[in-house]
Amino acid sequence: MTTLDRRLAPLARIWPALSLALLLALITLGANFSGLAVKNRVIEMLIDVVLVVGFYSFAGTSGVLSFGHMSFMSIGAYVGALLTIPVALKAILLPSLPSTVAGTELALVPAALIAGAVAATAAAVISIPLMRLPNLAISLGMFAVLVIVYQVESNWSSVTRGRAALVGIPTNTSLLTAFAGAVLAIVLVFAYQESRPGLRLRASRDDELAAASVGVNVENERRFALMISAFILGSGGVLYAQYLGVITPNSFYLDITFITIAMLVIGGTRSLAGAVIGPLFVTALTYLLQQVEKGFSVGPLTVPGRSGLQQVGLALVMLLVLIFRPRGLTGGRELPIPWRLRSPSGPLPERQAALQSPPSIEKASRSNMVALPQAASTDPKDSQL
Amino acid sequence: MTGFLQHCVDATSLASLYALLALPVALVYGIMNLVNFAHGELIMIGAYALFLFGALTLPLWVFLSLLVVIAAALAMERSAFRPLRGASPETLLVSSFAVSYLLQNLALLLFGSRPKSIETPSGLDRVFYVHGLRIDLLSLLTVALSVICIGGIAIFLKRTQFGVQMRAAAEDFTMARLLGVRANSIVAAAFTISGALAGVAAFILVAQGGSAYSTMGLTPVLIAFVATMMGGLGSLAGAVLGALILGAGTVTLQVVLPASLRPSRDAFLYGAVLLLLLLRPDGLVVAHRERV
Repeated sequence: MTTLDRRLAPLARIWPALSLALLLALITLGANFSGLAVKNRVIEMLIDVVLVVGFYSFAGTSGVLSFGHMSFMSIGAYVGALLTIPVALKAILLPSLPSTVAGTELALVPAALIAGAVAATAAAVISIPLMRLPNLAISLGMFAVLVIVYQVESNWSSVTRGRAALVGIPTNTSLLTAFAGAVLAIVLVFAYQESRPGLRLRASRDDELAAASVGVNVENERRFALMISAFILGSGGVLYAQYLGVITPNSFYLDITFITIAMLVIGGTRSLAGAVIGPLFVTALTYLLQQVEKGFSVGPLTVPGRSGLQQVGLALVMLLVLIFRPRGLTGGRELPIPWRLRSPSGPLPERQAALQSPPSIEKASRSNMVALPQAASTDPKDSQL
Repeated sequence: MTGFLQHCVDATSLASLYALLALPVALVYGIMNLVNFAHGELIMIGAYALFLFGALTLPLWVFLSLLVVIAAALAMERSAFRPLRGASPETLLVSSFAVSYLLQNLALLLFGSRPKSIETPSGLDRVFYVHGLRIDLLSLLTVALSVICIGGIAIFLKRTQFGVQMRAAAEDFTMARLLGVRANSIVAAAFTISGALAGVAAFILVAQGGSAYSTMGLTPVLIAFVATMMGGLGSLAGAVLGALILGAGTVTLQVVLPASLRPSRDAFLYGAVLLLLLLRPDGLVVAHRERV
């Protein structure tokens, strides 16, 4: 190892999260100096990153798909809304609220934390029966959870105003808050996936029986991951609510469920990079499709617009990705570490140093161990299996 | 007493509709490990076909609509699921979810968001009174269609050469292929059956609701999922049993719940099912456990 490599080692360790944060920082910076339309689109994208990263922390690490994760976002958004709507307005909109809720008016951050905690508690409760089921039944059971939450919110008028929109939520989600939220979600999920519980769950994803046979309690690991996921989605729900200012039960139903799943699948289900690249790619794609939707002309040919093309196009792209690139755009890998890619057998100065002074045996074997995986650029730390 | 019997009649009719929804989902899952989210959209296609052919005479109307749904089911298999054959059940599930979303939005694109009202043959809403019990013709028809379809499938699977091959494929797809069972025709047969049942279900749902709209497949497919989950994924008998329990449970909740909670009836129903699964995580009928 050269001094350069040694100094960069801790950086290499956190590179998967760092690179994604830098990528988002660049985009945010660019958006900051752009017009309002671009800015809003980037805010939406950053919120999507929060949601998809939150979704990934369960679906990606456990390998179990869920069709009901948006129920956590929904719970979080409603809790957040109830905690942040100005007291005077709340008295008019929802006169029969219990006094503790009716009298509170919190800022964005504490509201997001509480909403996340409530969503995580809900996840803990439903995971008790759900995580005992076989994998596919969990996916379907989560779909049932989505419908349950949707129905309860649609009919519990005294708290949610039912199908009517809950309005008057302060709109505090700025470009910076959305960026901060996305980075926090990335850091939290990266810390989880590299931690012992995260590694145990990922082991069970790759081979459930083998993991169980070396003592991994798969059910409990999944419960823990679902709680983390629910916390992030719940807080993300508050960001979303504070961006739009208005929520209805329908905001958290099938459309957003499909879009977040499409983002993760297109990006790549099995890496954190996939959970960030997916929203970026899909945002760009939907932008293009929206232009097509408006209608366009090629030379003398005018193609009339048709609304709905956007959804059809997204579904088609998702199917194509599933068929031709089932592991998604990132192929289930994290972003490659750039300074290790420069030369095939490690950084150049090292080879020169090795030629000039014969290294000790221990040193040689160590540099060999590092050099070998570099040659194929499949350092196990870089790639998520 | 009459009240109780009346509820039994209602439950029977509902349960037979649910069985018609759950059976094809379980059948397709048994053969190719695909939990077909897009089954609901086959029902939607059926409903729109009934709308398009509404001007024709009754037999032609039903026959053509059924044909359209079966063709749609086969096309769906050929274009979206065949390239993915052998993929993990999760991949198949998510791709069927994409197909479902695609078809929903395609319908929105073609027919708009307003429901299309469909005139059903007059007389289906006729009501009989037997000893004070209220029975309408549509419920009778539902039960009859369900019994005929399920009975027909049971006989087909047990008594015919092709049915035996299908059951063998459900048991062990690779082994069945090695013994000369043609994979493509087995899968096509499964989709034909599921298309036909979706067509029948579409007819009943249209006769009940009188309209076709793009998201009408959602509730049926959810019921099918919950029923097959309850019965144990992949077991046909389990799926029918699950559907029957679900039908009975729905009617019971409708009666027991206070009026203010009745709109959330399905939420209570699915919640109860999740609790039930706490006791039997693999479902009521365990199909075949994965061997280690």
